Amino acid sequence: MMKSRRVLSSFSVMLMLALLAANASQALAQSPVSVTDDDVNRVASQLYCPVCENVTLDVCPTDICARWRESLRGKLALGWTDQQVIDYFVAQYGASVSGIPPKEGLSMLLYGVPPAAAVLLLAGGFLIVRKYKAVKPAATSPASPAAARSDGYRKKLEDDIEKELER
Amino acid sequence: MSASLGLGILVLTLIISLYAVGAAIAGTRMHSAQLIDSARLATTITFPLLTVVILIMVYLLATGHFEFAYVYRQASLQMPLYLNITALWGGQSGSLLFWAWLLSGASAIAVRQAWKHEKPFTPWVVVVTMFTLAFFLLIVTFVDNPFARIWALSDGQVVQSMIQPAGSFLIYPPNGLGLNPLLRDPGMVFHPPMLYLGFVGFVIPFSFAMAALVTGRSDSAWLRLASKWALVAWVFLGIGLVLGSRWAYTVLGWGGYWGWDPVEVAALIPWLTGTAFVHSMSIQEKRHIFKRWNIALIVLTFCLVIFSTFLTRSGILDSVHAFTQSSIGPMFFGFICIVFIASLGLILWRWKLLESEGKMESFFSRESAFLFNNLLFVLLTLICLTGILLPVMSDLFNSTKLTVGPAWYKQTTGPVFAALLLLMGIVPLTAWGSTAAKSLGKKIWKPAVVSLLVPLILILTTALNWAGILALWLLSLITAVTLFDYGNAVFLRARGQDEDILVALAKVTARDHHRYGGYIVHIGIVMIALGVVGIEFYQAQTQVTVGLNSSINLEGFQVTYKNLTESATADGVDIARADVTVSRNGKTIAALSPRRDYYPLYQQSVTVPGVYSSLAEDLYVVLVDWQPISADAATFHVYYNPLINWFWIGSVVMVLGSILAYIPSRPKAGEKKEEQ
Repeated sequence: MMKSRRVLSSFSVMLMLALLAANASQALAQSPVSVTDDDVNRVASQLYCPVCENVTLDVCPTDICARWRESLRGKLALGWTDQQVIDYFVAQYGASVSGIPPKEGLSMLLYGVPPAAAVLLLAGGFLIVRKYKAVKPAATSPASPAAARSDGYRKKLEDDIEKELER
Repeated sequence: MSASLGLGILVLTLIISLYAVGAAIAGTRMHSAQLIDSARLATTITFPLLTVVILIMVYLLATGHFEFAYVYRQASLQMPLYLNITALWGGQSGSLLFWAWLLSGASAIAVRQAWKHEKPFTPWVVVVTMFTLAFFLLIVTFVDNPFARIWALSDGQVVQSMIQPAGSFLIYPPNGLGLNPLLRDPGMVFHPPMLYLGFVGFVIPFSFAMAALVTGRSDSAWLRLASKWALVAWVFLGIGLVLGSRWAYTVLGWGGYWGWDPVEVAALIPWLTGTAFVHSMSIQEKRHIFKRWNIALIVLTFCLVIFSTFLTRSGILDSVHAFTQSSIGPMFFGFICIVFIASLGLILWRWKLLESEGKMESFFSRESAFLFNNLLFVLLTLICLTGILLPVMSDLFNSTKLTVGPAWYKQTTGPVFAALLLLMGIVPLTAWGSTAAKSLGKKIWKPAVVSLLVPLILILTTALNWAGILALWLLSLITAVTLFDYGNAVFLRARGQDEDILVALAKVTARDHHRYGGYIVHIGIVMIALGVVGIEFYQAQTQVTVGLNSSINLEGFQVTYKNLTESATADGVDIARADVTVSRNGKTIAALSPRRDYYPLYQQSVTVPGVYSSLAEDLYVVLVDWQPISADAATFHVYYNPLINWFWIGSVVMVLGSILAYIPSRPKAGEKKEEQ
């Protein structure tokens, strides 16, 4: 009986300690973290003023942006990550406050068009060169005398350089 | 009186430009040289007429005739004379009038050139240029007229109108609102006119291209006339963009020069296709290929010029640069549609005629390199168009506003710019016709090895920044290749002709100045890119609140806060000005005065940074906040911008190179006749 009571009491102490520890860590997480202006600007530079056109929050001189920066500072002080702060502002004020559009819906085109265009244009380039390599040239209209003169000079110069490199 | 004269001449010029279009078409159809000549003269006369209109407008702005709505909105007694004159292009109707005036001047020169060198082109150059002019004059006359005055109606309402409404009387405000505070800068003198000169300049090559298509000329005659215009337009547009960057850097106070703002991007787009055209026209001249491509490229550039003007004025873009929302957007859209459909129709009509006469012999030839250069510029254009149009589409179709910021642009355009730099490094070593891979390898290995020294030194001496190192290696490769190729030519000449190196350098340059002008342009671009790399990859910044005589440390610099004064100017601008000193290694090297100007009338602040500049870096100090009254403490944002000044130096070098490339070749004896 004594033994079981001792076990029970030591279990209660451990439970209390565990609860205390959990509370302490939660309290620590909520306690304000020191936030510098640079920390605020790091996040603010990724957000846009809702009033001014295309001005980022870190440099916008309006009162509303000053209030936003303070709100942002408060969230960083609570230990929020940069992304959590950005997500919060996007959720509150819409996607336009972030300079990086979401990868969903119509804005997926922003992420799809550039690589697709790159592949198509470069492939097109190779096909064009191949096509033009195979083409049988038609009668050529003469280049302007100035251009022809410049070409002749250049050809001679390049031949000379070639010889020089072979030495 | 002067205003009625201005308005009258404006209407007369509109009628004359429409007459020129009609006379040119009728003259061609009826084979009437007299009508064509009349159209040519009508085109020429639009320039002096619009010059009178411009002078009247300048007079009204400079003398403060605030009864005119445009003068009331853009000019002010508090602004210096030069700013009141620049107000001509500070607002919508004035800038459109200015556009029209520049176009009339360019058209007069182009028509004269066509008449002298390619007579059959003349009527079609008249049609294109005067149709475009008429479009602008139509807007300026009937939709947004700078001569509209302010009237008070009997019911107390205030309206603006060109003619007096019944029972109204004219209002004479004692002063005007003046330009937006951000525009009250010397940058206003040159930045917008340079952009407009660039825009207008591209109208002329387009008109030559259209003339060639209509007259069924498949040779390079149009290109010979268009090439100089394209180069000049490209240079002016480039200067305009650089001046805009400089202005943003010195006035907006955010430590950068390019914010990927939609209107900035809209002005960049025609420059991108223009750059592609400036390169590709030489392929047609030298190799007689890509005829369709060149026509398509100049059509695209012209459409993008109008599109860019449309974007700034339609109100569909949210930007610090955009004009207020107005009804002229749909008119611009209609004009672009007409131009695009007509051009496309002409290209399809002449498709067979535009078949290439030459062939490509190698993947490593110069024409092949230019083709890929062109494709990369088109890719950049597509990326930029996606970036500015998608938010518009999202707003229109999804009712969701989006912002496409610098991060997206840097991510998408960065690799393309890197590929362009790599091409720029290789192209000087390629030749027209065929270049074997082996021959290219033989030419490139020495400069490539030398260029590797730069990344090696960077890896050994600085913190690792792979993107920065890659970019700097590409720049050193271009420099090494250019100098090796240039040096080889000079060295061979000096040895062969037994000349001094400097004499040989001058003679080699003069002998092939188009090519070496291009090389100097490339060196200018290397310098510009050096500035970009410095700020993009090596910029450092901090924001700190400091007390009097306390310092902020950044990258070896100490910025010490000394004093802050608050004052108000006679014209009601509140100025807060801080005094700081900049020291390095304990030695004071500069005294700066960053300030914040507040315009109560506009409820707008203008941040003017204090900048310490050297060839190696800028220290850029912005006054962010301060303790009122006591000024015991102030907050400063300090940016360390390495290499940024090379951006501005490179721009000057680029212009010098372009001038060298522009100078016409002197025909040798016996060639003159042949050329004619």
